[in-house]
Amino acid sequence: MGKTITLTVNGVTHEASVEPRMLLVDLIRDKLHLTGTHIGCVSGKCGACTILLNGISVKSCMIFAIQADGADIVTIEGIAKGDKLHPIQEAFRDNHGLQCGFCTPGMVISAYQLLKKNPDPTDDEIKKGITGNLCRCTGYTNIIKSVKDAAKRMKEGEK
Amino acid sequence: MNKKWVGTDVKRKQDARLLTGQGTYVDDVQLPGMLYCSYLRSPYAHARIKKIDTSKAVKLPGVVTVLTGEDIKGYPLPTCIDQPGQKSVDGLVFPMAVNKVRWAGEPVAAVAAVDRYISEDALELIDVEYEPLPVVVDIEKAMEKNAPLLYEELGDNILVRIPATFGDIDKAFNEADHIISERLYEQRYSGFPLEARCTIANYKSADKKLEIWTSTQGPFQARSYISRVLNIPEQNIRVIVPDVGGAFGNKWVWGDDIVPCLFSIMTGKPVKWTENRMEAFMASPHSRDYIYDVQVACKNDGKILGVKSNMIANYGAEAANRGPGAGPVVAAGFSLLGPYKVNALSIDHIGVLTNKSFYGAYRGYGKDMANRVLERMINIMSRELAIPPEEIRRKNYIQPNEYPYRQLSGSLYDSGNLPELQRRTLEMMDYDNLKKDKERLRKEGKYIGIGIAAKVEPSGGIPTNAFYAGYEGVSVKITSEGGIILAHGLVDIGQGTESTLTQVVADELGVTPDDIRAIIGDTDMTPCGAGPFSSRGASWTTSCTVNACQKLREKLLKVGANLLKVKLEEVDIANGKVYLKKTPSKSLTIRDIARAAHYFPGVYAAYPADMLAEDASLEVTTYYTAPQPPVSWVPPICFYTTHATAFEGAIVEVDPDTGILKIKKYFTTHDCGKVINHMIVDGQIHGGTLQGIAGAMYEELQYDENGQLLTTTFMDYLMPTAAEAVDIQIDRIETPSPFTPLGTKGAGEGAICATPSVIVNAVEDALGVTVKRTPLTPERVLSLVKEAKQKKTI
Amino acid sequence: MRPKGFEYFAPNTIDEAIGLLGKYEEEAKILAGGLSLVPLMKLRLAEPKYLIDINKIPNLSSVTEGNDGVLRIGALTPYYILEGSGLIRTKSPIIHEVASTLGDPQVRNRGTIGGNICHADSACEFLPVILALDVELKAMSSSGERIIKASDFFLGMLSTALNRGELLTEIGVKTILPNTGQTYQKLVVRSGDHPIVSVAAIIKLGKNKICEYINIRLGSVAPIPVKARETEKALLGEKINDELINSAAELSTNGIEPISDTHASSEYRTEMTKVMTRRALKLAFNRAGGNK
Repeated sequence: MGKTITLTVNGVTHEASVEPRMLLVDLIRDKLHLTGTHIGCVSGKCGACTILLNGISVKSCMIFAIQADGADIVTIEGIAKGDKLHPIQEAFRDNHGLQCGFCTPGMVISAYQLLKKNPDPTDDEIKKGITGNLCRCTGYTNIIKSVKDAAKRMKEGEK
Repeated sequence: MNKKWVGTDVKRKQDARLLTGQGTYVDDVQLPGMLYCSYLRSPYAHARIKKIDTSKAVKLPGVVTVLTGEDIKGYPLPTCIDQPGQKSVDGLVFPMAVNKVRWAGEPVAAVAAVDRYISEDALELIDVEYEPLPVVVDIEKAMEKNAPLLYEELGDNILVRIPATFGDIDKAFNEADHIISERLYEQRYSGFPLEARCTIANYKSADKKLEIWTSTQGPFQARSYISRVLNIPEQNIRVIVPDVGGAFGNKWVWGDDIVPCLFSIMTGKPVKWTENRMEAFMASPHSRDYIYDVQVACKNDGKILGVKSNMIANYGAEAANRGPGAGPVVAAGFSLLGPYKVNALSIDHIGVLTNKSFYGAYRGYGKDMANRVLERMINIMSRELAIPPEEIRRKNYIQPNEYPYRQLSGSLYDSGNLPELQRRTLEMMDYDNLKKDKERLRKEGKYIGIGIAAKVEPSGGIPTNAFYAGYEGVSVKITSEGGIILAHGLVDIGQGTESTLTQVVADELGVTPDDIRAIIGDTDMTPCGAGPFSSRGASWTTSCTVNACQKLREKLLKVGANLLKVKLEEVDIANGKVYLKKTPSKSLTIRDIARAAHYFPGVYAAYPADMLAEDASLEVTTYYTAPQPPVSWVPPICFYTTHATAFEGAIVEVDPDTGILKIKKYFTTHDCGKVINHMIVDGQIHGGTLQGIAGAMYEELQYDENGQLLTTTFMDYLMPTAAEAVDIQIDRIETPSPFTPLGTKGAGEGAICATPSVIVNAVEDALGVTVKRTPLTPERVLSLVKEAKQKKTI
Repeated sequence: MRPKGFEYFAPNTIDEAIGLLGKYEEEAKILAGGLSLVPLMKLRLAEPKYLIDINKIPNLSSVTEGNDGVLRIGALTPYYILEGSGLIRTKSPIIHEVASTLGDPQVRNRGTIGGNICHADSACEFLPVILALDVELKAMSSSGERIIKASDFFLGMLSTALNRGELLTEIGVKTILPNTGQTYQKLVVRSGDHPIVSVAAIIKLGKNKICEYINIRLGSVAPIPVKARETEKALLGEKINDELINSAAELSTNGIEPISDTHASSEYRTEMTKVMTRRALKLAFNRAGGNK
């Protein structure tokens, strides 16, 4: 029934026995107990389950766990360095870029990916970069502000 | 004392954990041996259940047990709100359908299995035989004489009917120069927080204790509700609410928590139900979906003499038993006059039952519907009387010096200044130049529209005869090592109560918010509080917290004075210390006082004699009831403690070829009295405004005439993405409420209430025709463009 | 919601994949990006017994230009690669246009051009584009390689000319010719949604702005994207200008069969076909140098 897969999550290697139909998001949440990645819908629209798979942001509810055999995954738990928040996380906190926090892990991952590709995005580019993540609380206003601020902090951090 | 935390944009305590994935939402919780519950739901909107065969499902490996409606018919759901003019369906509503299903999506059976996957597999093995019945989904059809009946026992489909008249309505209409009539319609939509509902029930049979983790706004209501339904003594039930991923009123229901509890009692294991997104669309509380037939009597100069409002809201399959969802038609009637001086009002407001999902609370709870009436009718009047809409409003406003103002329908408005709000918003919009631009652009074939609306946001409501009809408890405690704990029932659903109330405590006790920990969301750990609905936090919980802290402050001063061996009048408290006013270096920290009181030297040395006799503690638990609202339905009926206000505007552009509507900018000048944390209030405005825009333009729960919900995923239900975000400019004034100790007023719901009125008014302004129906999809807007061209208004 | 159980294979070569397809026939489905298939499986509207994950097969994701000027795109190439490819941007801007606006960033990171084409739903956005480009599709089976023209590839809603046991491996695109303007335009209500209507238009102008070549395909208005023949006829060989485009666009609704659904009625889709055809043609005309 199950196949044993090996994958690295936030730098830690895991072995897990999965049946083929197990969704990657269920592996991450239920088996690896990394519950920061969330499930908000059934059709792959909301983006609350967004993670980095081999460096690329994807919706983990649209992927079977078995497909991640050999993969390198980063979830929200892997973004901060111990107690030190990533500049993106600091920017979200300082700009009130989250309210209930449910969309936030996926949103931070998408922002992370966006700023990697485009370190100096315009507001429109930020909006485009996060259209795959639904938020119901903030109206996106402070999220856009947070990502803009994060870009600034990351540029300054590099100096 | 240095008051400095209230009014400061303090960063939130919970952000570090939420940003790093360390939040705990109910589905994150795993208990040993936990089972998973899935519901089988009716595909028919209206049908008798002839037979349910669960034998195959029970045999599936991994399935522990199965329940059907027959099994749980001993557990009818109680009435959660009881209003005059409301019929009872007591004994007729159950956690799962018994004999009859009343909407497509109503649960008919449930499975408890060892994992999520198997519990869903088992659903396919349950055979149900239905006998379909005629379906009714349309409001007017449901009111017809021979309409299919949702509950035969009721004789018709009317669940609630509130007729009421205030002032001399006949005189008003006889004296009018004009009577403006219109039918206003808003479609069905709802909140759909990104975290759908989730409940874990854990029954410990040896102790006969039930522990429930649930994503709810009302842990105490949940406790009482479950106690009543399952007949478990309430003291043996604990409800825990960890982090909540949004609620907006949609988590003020408890009917779907019963089956997981029953499973846990039956199996002796924890049982989790995680609502999936499809279930959320099909079977969670719905809102809006109403028709108003309105008549406004006015003079030539725009003075409003009277309003007649006949309204019918589509309450779906039920509205009072899964949660207190039946109130909106009432709120809509009593809040209808908004910020205007009107001397006659007659309402006949109805909540009608149909074969759609049940009705509940969604941000506004009828106050949004109320806003639609005069804010849209003034716009329509403006066209008919050829008087600018801002002039009509100015003519009819309650003036700032007239507050506190007893509105005709009973609400006591605490304070406000609509003329100033209007002035500021119109100035922000550069309104006069905008109007000129509009005309110029129209000649170029570009259609800009300017929409405005005023708003009163009644907040801090206490429905009488409802689950939690009006009190709030808070505890503030100093621990033996000087730790400060604030315990209250105002669940944090994203609006920041974990942090904001500590700002209030910090000011009162002369400490910083970092010194205080808030305990919320646990019925074993906090005093009873009604939870965040009706924007209660700023009025009820804040006021209660202030009262509690003032009493605790008194205690600290008394004990401090006693330990310093000086008189009470000689000391004050600031910066975490009780100090001698004339020699501030002579002081004791709160920790010093706490230690002295608890052990070194101890109770008898620390406390003065009167405290020893009465209450030798550094804790205060106090309850608060608002000074104004009623205890009965005898007029004047005022449900709300405080009234926030705003004046809003929007600039839109209509593409005349496609009907695509662009909101170029949104403006609001907002007044919620004394603001605790502007950053948080602004966040509420951003979120609520976009929800309102979504209601005006994108979202609709579409049913076909067979009662099938067509919009069951986020692909079809168009919740806005970041690309649809709108530029919102915010200004504010603060007219404090005389009814609350800090002058605070609730602000959580306000931002959604006027927004659809503003957008509709803007489109009407762009095209010169009346909007009959929302949402303003491109197709609908295009037909308005054609109508405007035909009528030569553009 | 969770899918039903299935057996899973992750072949390492095309031959292995073809072998599995041949063995399990209609009980097997190819798993590429998964964005069409996985939602259907989660809703239990699709319940394949066997899933053949082709993501481990090397050399199926690539963008190369041959000496013959043909761009060869591997079937498993994700949209984001197409979006970021300089070669695509310069040699086939219409593919850049669809790849960069489809769905959302996570969708673009995972969705593949081959998956979109083979799913063949009327809402699949690559369909009108590859039809307007007259691409050649390469399929492999146990009998070897086969080239299928785009115009022969789509048989109906969710139905392609691929035989059982056949795997799409490559898409061949003629590159942009001078004085050609191409565009993909779509009408959506909300970002990332399926288009209400979409138009892929390619126009080549000769001397005096005479239209030498025109290819217009309309998406989301029929089971298979419709070739706007009447509009093409009105433009081919004519001197192009705004008025001619306007009148030609009025003819674009011939042959469309739009549906009514929760997003829009068939009447609205019909009307928008004309509007979007007009807008796409004007843009393509401009890109072909028409307004110089």
